[in-house]
Amino acid sequence: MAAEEAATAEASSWQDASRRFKFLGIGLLLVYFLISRFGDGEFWPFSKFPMFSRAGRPWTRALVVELSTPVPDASLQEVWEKELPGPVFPLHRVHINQDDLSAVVRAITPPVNAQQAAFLAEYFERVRHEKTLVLYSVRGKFRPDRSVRERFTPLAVIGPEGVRALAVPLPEAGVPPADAGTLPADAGVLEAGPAHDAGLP
Amino acid sequence: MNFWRELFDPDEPESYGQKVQSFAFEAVVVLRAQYELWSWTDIIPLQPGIPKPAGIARFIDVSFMIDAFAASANAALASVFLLLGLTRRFRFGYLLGFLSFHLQYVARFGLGKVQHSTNMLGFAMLALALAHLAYSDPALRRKASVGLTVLLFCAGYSFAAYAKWRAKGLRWADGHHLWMWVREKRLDVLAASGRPQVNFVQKLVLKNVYIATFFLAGGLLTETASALLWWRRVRRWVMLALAAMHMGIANVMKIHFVPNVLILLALSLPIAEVVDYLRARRTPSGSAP
Repeated sequence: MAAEEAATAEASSWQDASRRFKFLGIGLLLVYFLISRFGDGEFWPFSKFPMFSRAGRPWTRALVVELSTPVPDASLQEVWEKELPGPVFPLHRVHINQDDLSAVVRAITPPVNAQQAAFLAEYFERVRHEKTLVLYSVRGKFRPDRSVRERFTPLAVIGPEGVRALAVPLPEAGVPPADAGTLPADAGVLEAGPAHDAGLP
Repeated sequence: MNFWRELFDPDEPESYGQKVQSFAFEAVVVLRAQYELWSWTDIIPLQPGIPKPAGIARFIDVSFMIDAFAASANAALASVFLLLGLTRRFRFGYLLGFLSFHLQYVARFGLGKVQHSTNMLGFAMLALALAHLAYSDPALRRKASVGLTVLLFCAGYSFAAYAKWRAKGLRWADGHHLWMWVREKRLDVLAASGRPQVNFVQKLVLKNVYIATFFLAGGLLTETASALLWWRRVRRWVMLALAAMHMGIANVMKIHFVPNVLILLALSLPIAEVVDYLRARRTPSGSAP
């Protein structure tokens, strides 16, 4: 009799455990569905994981170039990678994540406004007193033949005096050199300038 | 077949090897969380602010976290809570660790780009937190935490697959799309390091669009198959395929989903079987294990 009661109690406790799990599982799925349905579908750790779904769409990334000698602002125009006015400044030296900076650049509609300039001045505070940098917005998109073209648009000069917004460049200006930004065979050997080795604070 | 029993079966006897594997899963989650917490701690104070708040930061001002002491203190709190959860010293350890981790996350990713490589880590922490609150029995906690983690992984990867199918359908796997992403990532590497680096696999996919298409089709198929994670019989193989997919992404696109790979491997490698086998060999025949 006692054994039967114990077995019944155990079965009931397992049933209770299963019911509880089902409740938790359905609750989590419901929360996940609601988060993905409303807003932008992001609330860590829940996400719709939309990355890479927008295949083939143009992209915009950030790149910073170091100027070893001052150049007039007017000479900073939209260019191809080979025509950049100096070596690429490696962001990891100042612990700036390129994804973060790209997100900041994507939010900028040229010209850079005063608030964005102040933000960039603070972001580059640890380096701008010693170097003159140019922030580029790089836009990649398909050509009609489905190779990828990348245009580098200067947004601002970052230096000891602060951040200076550059005039809005003409979009798609210039005639592309025959091999500029083409894919795919030479992708690893495009000249982007050597890494700059000068020490930073 | 009981639908929910595929994820959680309280009646199923638990071997010593399965206990070891569950502990390995928890240890991976807690240790990787420490790494993320402390690596973000270095970056948070260098950020100018939180212009694009995410998560809880949309509802409460967390700008106080943009401070070296606040970021370090919160990382320390989260670390302690998670370790208390792992060592079973505090029932709310995982829950409080999860919440502190969320705070650290929204402080780190408030510039407009959220990171997705820690979402699965968050799922695992949330599953551990709920399992520890809902159950007192150690075996049930272990089973429920793994079951809920699998449920959330299944939902998360299925969402990712659905987004791709919905956006482009089968055309998503067109290798030209991979060319775009490889170029984008090349630019990122150039911006971060100052040098354009393209590895062997990237050169390969850039040379041949059919190889690129093959890679994308493999990824899409694997993510679509993630709905099968629900079923035990195939779960291990789907998890291994997802881990392989992430390793492929790391090579081709330089995007590293290390927490996902670690958790997937901790749950799918035959750790329990190996431990049980070794234990059985060491136990003299005839004596009780």
